[in-house]
Amino acid sequence: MARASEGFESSLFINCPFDRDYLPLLQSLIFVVFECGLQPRLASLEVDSGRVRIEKIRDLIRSCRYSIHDISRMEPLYPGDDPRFNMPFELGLDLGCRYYGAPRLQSKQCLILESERYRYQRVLSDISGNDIRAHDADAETLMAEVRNWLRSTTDRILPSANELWERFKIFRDDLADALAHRRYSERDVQALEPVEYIDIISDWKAGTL
Amino acid sequence: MMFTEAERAEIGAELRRLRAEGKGRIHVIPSKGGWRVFRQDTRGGKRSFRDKDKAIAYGKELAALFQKDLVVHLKDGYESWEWEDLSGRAKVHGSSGL
Repeated sequence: MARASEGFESSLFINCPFDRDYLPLLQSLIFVVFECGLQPRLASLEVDSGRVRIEKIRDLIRSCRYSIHDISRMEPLYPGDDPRFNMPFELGLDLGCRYYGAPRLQSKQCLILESERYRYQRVLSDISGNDIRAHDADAETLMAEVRNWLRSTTDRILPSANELWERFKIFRDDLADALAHRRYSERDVQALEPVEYIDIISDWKAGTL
Repeated sequence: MMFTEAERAEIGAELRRLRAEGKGRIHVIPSKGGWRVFRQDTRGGKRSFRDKDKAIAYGKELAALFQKDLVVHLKDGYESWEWEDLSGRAKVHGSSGL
């Protein structure tokens, strides 16, 4: 029972787009979560084809104290694309979990990320009053926003945003070098599946402890 | 294609080796619309520049001073110089990713 509680306290649910344009941002997001001492969890990691996706997401939300929702794809990325409503839907589930769930779930914390400041007021004004930050589709800004939010919500002593950005750039180049032996180009590294990326960082960090 | 557990362990070991080797290396990274120069695993020597060429020139000075390699981080890859070659002649490694 104690172990389940420990997992809850250190787990962070990431609800974000998985398109190719977003992958570099997602890599920086995963990295900063690890560097801040939390375990990132994504719906795509919970591989169990026998289960309905919504059930997986429900269980994920319930098992993570922290969550980050990037709702920047509510409008189409390119003309002719369809908007994506999975992210705001899962955000709603998360907020509902906090409002209506068991007492432990009322301690849940979430950060809402947007690409542009105040755009949410046009499309999802009900979420006003939550922690909403804009990243301008810039990895450095995204990492700083996540770091600053985790600093205030977890009360942990964390490296500065500048320090984390430097660590990320070094890690990314080391990763490109490490994977070059396996004939991965820089483009391949940028397009690594999130599940692979998380596994690599987990193994790397486990070996440095 | 996913990595096997053994492959992940190898990649993790390689990352740790690279990290240990890179101690003291000079980095030029994009930051806040400009460029930042710093020495890996140390606190001193950090400077920010608006201009990329000036940042690289400062990075080369530091690399020559500390006798450490220089890595310039680009949007799609990186360029690097070994400190012995910092007379401005040769760029010894590079990956544009394109």
